[in-house]
Amino acid sequence: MTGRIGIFALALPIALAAHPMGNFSVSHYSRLHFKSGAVEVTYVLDLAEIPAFQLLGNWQIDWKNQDDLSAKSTQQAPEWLDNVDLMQAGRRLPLHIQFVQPRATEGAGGLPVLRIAVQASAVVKPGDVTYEDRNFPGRAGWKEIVIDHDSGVAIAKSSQSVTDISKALTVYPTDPGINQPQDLTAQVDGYTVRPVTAPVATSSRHVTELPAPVAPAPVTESRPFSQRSSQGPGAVVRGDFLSKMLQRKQLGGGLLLLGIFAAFGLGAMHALSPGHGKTIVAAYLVGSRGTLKHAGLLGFTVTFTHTFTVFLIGLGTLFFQQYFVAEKVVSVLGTVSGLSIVSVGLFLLYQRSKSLMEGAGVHLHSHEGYFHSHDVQPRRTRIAELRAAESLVDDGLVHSHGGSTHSHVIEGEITPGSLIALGISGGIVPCPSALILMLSAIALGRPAVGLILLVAFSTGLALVLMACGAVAIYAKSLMPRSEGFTRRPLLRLIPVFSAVVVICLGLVMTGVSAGWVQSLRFLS
Amino acid sequence: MMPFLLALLLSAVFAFGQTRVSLKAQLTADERIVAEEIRLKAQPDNPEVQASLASAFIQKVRETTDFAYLNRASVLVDRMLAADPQNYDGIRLSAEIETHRHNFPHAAELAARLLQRNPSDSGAMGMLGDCLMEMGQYDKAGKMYERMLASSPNLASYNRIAYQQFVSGESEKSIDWMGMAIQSGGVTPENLAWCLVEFGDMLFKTGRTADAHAAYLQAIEALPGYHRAYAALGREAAATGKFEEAEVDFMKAQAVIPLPEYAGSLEAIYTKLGDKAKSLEQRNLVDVIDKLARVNGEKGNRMIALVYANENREPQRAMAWMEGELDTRKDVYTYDALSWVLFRAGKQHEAETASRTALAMHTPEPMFLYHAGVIALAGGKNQDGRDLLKQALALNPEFSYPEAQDARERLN
Repeated sequence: MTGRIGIFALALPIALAAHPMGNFSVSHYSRLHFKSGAVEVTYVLDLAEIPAFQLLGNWQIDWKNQDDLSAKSTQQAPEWLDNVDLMQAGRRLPLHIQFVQPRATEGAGGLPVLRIAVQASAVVKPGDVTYEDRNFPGRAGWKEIVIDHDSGVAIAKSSQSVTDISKALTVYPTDPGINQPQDLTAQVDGYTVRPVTAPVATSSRHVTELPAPVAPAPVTESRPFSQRSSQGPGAVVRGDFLSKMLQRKQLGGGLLLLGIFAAFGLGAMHALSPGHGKTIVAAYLVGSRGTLKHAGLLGFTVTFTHTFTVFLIGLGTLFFQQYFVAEKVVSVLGTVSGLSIVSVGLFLLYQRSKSLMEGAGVHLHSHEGYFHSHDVQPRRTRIAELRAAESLVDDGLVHSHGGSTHSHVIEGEITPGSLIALGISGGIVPCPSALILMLSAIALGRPAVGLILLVAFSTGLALVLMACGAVAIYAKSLMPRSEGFTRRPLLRLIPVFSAVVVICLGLVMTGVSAGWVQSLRFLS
Repeated sequence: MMPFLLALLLSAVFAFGQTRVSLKAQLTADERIVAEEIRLKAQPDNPEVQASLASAFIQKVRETTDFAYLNRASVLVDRMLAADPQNYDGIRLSAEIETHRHNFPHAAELAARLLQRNPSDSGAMGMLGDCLMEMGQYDKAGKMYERMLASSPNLASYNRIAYQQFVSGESEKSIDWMGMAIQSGGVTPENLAWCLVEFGDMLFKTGRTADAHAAYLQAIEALPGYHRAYAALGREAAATGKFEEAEVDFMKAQAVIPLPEYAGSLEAIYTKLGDKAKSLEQRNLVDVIDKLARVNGEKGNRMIALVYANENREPQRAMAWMEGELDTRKDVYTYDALSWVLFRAGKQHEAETASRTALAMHTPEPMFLYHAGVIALAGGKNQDGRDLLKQALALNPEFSYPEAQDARERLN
């Protein structure tokens, strides 16, 4: 027990002497220089006082003896390069050491610091190359990779640029505005040996577009930072059919159609999992004079909103990835959705409670004709009422006598506003699967295909929601039609109760999305 | 239609306002640094951007223990305060930096100033509580943490309450609170991993070794390569006699950061395994760390002092480190270390006094009880000493190597 969040376990130096990266740091530098048919690797390690002490302890030499230092460094260099993976087409390219250059200087407290440079080369064919340095994992330090090439070769795209900030670990800028790189992996795409005339581009450190006269440069890499080191390009969706399909170079019509069906099915299956507003839709339609048309409009709104949201987030992630966290936006949208559902519920509750209260006072009528009022909902227009009556004749809670039709159950009004608001609420929160699908498509330079698949996915999702609404409407129609039954007080409360259900579900959704309620804890 | 659109708009404004900070917090330290550095290039004198970058640097220090980042943060904060000495963020970050440098009284003063200006700043409450804990003012710290909890019930407040409860002898409550901290989740993987290791330590110290082991593994899952989790696994393995495993775990921890306690533990493990050369290497490494710490101007370091006391060597150096530590830190852990160092230095009476202070809060730390028991036995208080050693073993019969074994031998 050494402390807690906010307290560090060890009082370390106030001002670090000698080594600018700290006394226990190990700094890495790799320069990959592409030539015709080969890549030259300059690999430098800079060991501060403590790791230098440990290494020299293992070597058991006097650091001031340059001959011993050279001999031991040369002996050790192959081991370090064993932990450096230069890969092409799944195969490790053997690195041939040309020379090793160690240098020991006096650091803090008279202790040595070591800088060892290893020059090596490997034969490389045209194509993509990856690089990973696995030495001293997790150890603090400067970690820089530089990628450049001769004028006789070209690189379509590389993860690092020619900018050499530390000058091969000889200068460590301390200006907080200069980024301390932490790169141990690199990716070089489209290495070719055709001559080029354009100069080497120097752009941002993370993604550099280099001139590629032979093949057109692919779109800028759009993977989120968190995925850069762990996954290969385009492998945003791992393993599933759609991701594999997206990664194919050629997409035939048949394959695309298959993909559309798969996306549709995935969307439908996804809608069946918890949290897609099925209960809310059902509760709304049960309590209102919902019809299949309403369920259809609801489904359309959900599809449109879902597609639009996912596409927008995909683009946001592409262009504003440094400021934009898709996962967080999803939770924001979840909160928005939850709050709007609450507002819909509150509106329904107000509307239906008012109707119930007024109904209790005015709806005292007799079917023998002594009293008869239809002013339960005074704001309703006659035209709307007539239209509603047409669709509600099938409803078990509506009956006719003397040519006039009315219901004894206080029901809410279906308005386009509430229906669209509910649809937006249902579709605004993007399903992670759809989002990943879209991001994959954008990353692979196929936004149009992604959009088509996304529409299919959203349609599948919406269809299940519509089916839920239809089931609710059908279930409602199965209720007894007798007047005695429909006049039961409990039955008259159903619409009000359903509005409360909508509010509660909206509140839960808001709480979970905003992080105020633990979803698992709530469910348990 | 309009009410719904209005509701949506208001909800969006509300939700985005709520999550502006969270958006930053969800990024890893490296991602935040890259993003903020780009912003700083565009707006070099914008104090808000400077504060965001400094904050990211501080988080990076937590993740890597690389104090080069703390110096970078410090440069930015100095710029902010030079432009505006009353800059709130500048003072807050300054307090954080002072906390990392273990300058607790100064950090406490800064945090108190922040709370005067903004009484609802839960971050400042946390910092002030932390400093009070380190200064041994547990009641005040507890009240500050309760205030923080009321203001922000989350991982940051839960884990602090847990620690305060543990130090105060409430082991079960502390485990519950730490469990809540873990359940609530962290804004960065490091925060969660930290809590998982603390949770595991609480479980281990109170005898639930298997549960502790699981927590340490979860910490590594949350933050791969987390040195504190590997060190905890190493301690557990050594305590249960699995010395080869312990060596591997401690080496993994040491590969990330060579803390003196890791070197001390490895020295004991290599001695047990009969590898004198490696044991000597680790001993020499402790001396190098000591030397560098002095060269760098460090005044107090109870970890180096404890390693020396455990190895029963360098009593003067150990005392010098403890005296420096006592200038800024007066918690039960400092007094426990002090008692052990004093005991090794042959100052029996002072050791007993320090030991009593260490035990005053009834903290369920088997090592406190072990140290106190050995000191009491040496002072001729056989019954007290035996009782204390029994209490240590009752908490966890295998609480530490080689101390648990030594305690049993002394009792027999």
